[in-house]
Amino acid sequence: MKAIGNRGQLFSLDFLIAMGLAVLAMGMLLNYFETTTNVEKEARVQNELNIVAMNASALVLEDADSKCPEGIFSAQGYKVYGCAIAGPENSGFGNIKKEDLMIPDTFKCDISWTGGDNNDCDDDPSSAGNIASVERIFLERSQSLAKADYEKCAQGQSCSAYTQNTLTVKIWK
Amino acid sequence: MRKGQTSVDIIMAILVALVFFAVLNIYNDDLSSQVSEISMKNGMKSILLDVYSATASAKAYGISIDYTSPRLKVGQSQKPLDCAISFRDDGGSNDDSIYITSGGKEEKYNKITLDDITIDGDSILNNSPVTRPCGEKFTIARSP
Repeated sequence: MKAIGNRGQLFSLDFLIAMGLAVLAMGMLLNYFETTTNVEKEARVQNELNIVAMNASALVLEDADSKCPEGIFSAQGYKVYGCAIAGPENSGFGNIKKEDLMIPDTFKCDISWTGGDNNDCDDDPSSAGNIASVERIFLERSQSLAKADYEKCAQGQSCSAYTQNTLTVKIWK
Repeated sequence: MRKGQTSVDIIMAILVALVFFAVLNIYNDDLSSQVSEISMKNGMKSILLDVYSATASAKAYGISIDYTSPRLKVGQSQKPLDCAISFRDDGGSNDDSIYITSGGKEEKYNKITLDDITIDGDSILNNSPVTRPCGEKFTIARSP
């Protein structure tokens, strides 16, 4: 390579190219670190939202006011699992309060099910960033439950005693 | 230039290098302090989420959970920090909270109903907080 040694010249072309490459490499490295940090942060936030949503959805189905009455079945050794009375908006799931579902006040929520919306958790998620959405299938009693119906349902035969519905709980910040 | 004379270039280069390393050192100290604070905050949030999750399970399924929280650690080689888990009734109806406190800092979930939750048999209803140190075993249950 021809030596460059003009008076007043500060940097050689080699040096400028090397600096350019070094800056590019540092930029790429910083971008990688920033992306990794962001992904970790997003994962942490999403994890928190998922836990709150899963707990809230379990609490909706296990709420005393919306659970199916077990009646004589508990005395006979039967337990009705996954059964709830969702009801219309002003009964069943509709009246459960956000506090009772252990959703902290810094979180927003939207709870709906086949045929209704909760009155207290009815925020609009359209402008939210990260959202946790949990769906749980539950059974709603469609007629007075007889033991014969229960056994038919347990055996997987055509089960008309319950209607299968879906509860959706959305949580965001 | 005479033999043995230090050039202006090298003096300038050393000065620039000194300034650069001084600034880098200040930046690193600040970054280290920020990382430590964020790490502590994340640790407290993780414990809070764990306690919250256990409490919600006890409430939802009516079960009694013998719970031991993780201890608060910042960094790999350091000793666990003192921290406390506190279940509080903040006064209003349905106005209960779970707090994690350590070194004057706190993380909390508030406005959650804990009326039917007991900690080692103690209710949270009577306005006095039920507090347990991190790492200690206690029983979270739903009162019948």
